[in-house]
Amino acid sequence: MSTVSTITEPGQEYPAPARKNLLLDAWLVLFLAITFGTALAFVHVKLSPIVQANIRNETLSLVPVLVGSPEEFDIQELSQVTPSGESLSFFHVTDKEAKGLGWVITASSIGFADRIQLLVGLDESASQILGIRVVDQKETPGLGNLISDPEFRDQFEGAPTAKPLSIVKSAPAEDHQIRAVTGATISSVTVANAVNQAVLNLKYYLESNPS
Amino acid sequence: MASSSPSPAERFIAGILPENPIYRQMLGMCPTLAVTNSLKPALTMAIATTFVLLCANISISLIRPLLKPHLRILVFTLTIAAFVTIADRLLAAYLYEMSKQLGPYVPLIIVNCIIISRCEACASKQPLPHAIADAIGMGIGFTLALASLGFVRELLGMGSLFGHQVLPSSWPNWGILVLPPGAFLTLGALLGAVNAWTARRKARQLSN
Amino acid sequence: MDTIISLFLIFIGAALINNFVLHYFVGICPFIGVSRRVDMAFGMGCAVTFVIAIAATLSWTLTFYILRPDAPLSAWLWKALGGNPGITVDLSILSYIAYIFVIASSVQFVEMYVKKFFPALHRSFGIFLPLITTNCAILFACLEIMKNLQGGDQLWGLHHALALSVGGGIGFTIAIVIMAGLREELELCDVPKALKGPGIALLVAGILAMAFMGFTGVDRGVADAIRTLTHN
Repeated sequence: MSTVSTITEPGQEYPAPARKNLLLDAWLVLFLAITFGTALAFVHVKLSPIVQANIRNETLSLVPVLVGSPEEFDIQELSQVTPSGESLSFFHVTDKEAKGLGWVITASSIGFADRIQLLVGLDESASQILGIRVVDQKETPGLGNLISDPEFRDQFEGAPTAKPLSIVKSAPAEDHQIRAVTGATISSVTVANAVNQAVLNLKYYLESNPS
Repeated sequence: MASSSPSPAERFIAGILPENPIYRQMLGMCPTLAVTNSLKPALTMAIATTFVLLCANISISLIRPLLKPHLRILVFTLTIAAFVTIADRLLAAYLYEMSKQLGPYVPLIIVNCIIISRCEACASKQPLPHAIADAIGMGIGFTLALASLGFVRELLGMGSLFGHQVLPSSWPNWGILVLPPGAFLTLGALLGAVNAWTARRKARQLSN
Repeated sequence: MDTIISLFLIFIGAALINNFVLHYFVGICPFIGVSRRVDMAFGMGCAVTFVIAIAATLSWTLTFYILRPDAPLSAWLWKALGGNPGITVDLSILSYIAYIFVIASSVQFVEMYVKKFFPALHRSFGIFLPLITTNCAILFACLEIMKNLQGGDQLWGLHHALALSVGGGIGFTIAIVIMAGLREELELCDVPKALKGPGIALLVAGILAMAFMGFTGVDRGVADAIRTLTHN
């Protein structure tokens, strides 16, 4: 700590500069600022397209997987404002003849620790869930973070959307029931609720935009 | 240490253990604790910090004769912040997954006391070879410290190394080590172990 | 009502659940190094809370109007200078440099102000002020604010930024004061030689962090309670 305390109190060790020399003294700082400014501008121009592409690919690479990995497809990005004022983004996956293959919707809800973000894949008529993926979560390692595991998420595949999904703690008896991750009921319920909300949002979208 | 100025080789060695930034000087604790829940982010962080430390040390050492005493902290901060921004962008472009996982801890390298204290104690007073040796030595010391923490926490907490399962599945994962409290506990225990080891070595040297 | 609940969630989140020190590990250096006496620790905590609020206000303003992608002021300036209106002006690459200078200058400013107008206050915690520039808690608050101004559906307002920073500052104070109290007691204990000093402090901090993990979920419970109360 001693090093830190000496370096952060420069004013006490050295006399303040005379006022007239201020600009002359600061020429090095100005010169460095301009040099680094140029360097940063260069870095920005070079790297920001790659960064932007990374951010987009992160979502887009999952989209076809969630509608059954078709070999040829087009992705359309759509957005919609829900009655509650949230803005949602949708992906409509179509084949080359513009025939719809399914929908992928972003969904999120507050879990045990922080917000859980999901992508939900649904078929063309929003009657069946094709798959889910957890995009971002900070749940407890070893318990809540198992919601990202195939064991939990594969239960959603093929679930009908006629009834909202519910979480059970034993082996599910009906196909709208999902077995919770042991020791992480809150995280599991959060995922189910987010998926249910995503289904409602898509149905709302399909009703308000009949094709 | 500045009184009898050591050679580049001595500076290099000093950074690794005798003046190890984590175990000896207790500097730069924030990333040490925050990103070491597994080896991969720990090593990424260590490399990013070493990169910034090396670049900052080189630049400061080169402009050393021009430094005005009362403006030097300003110059250090500007230099470090610029290099951190570059490191942050590079990570986001080429190691996006890691950059997302490290989150705010990459920009927090700016206030990592190791870098500014090396700029002040070494680079602003020593010629280029010394500054480079010092930065690399300190960087390796920091990397070793982060890797040791990441190794223990990932191995005992998840039974894996670099994401590959190494312990048999019968190992009951000590989940607490991956969580924030585990960072404090592991570093405390490792610090105790390093202190005990040095004390024993010193005692043996005295008795010989 | 929803605004108040969201502010409350941010505040409790920063102060207790995701405590700046015990969950995010920012501001660890003074936590391990300085916290040996409760009154000093409290002084340090107050100084950090004060500076963090000022730095957060300044950096929110700077980010919202100038630095974020498509910020109003820089977009206007770009157009006024005859730049291509099709290009989104994005100065966020400069944010780290901007924040560190905002922090350094607000520390300077606060020190000058306190010295001139509250000399008694300056005598009690003025010595901590220069140390704060290298305190990561403040830069961390600025970065969190920046993260929530990068786009997405809900941009943070100044009130959110203040809730986060004051909550974070109070969380820092709580953690550092508890730690100082524990270390005052530890002075009297017979600690193994190798663990003396920082070693035992880290182990104690680990147990403290475990205790703070117990706060997880408190925010949601309280928010639900408020919601049901107001609905009835």
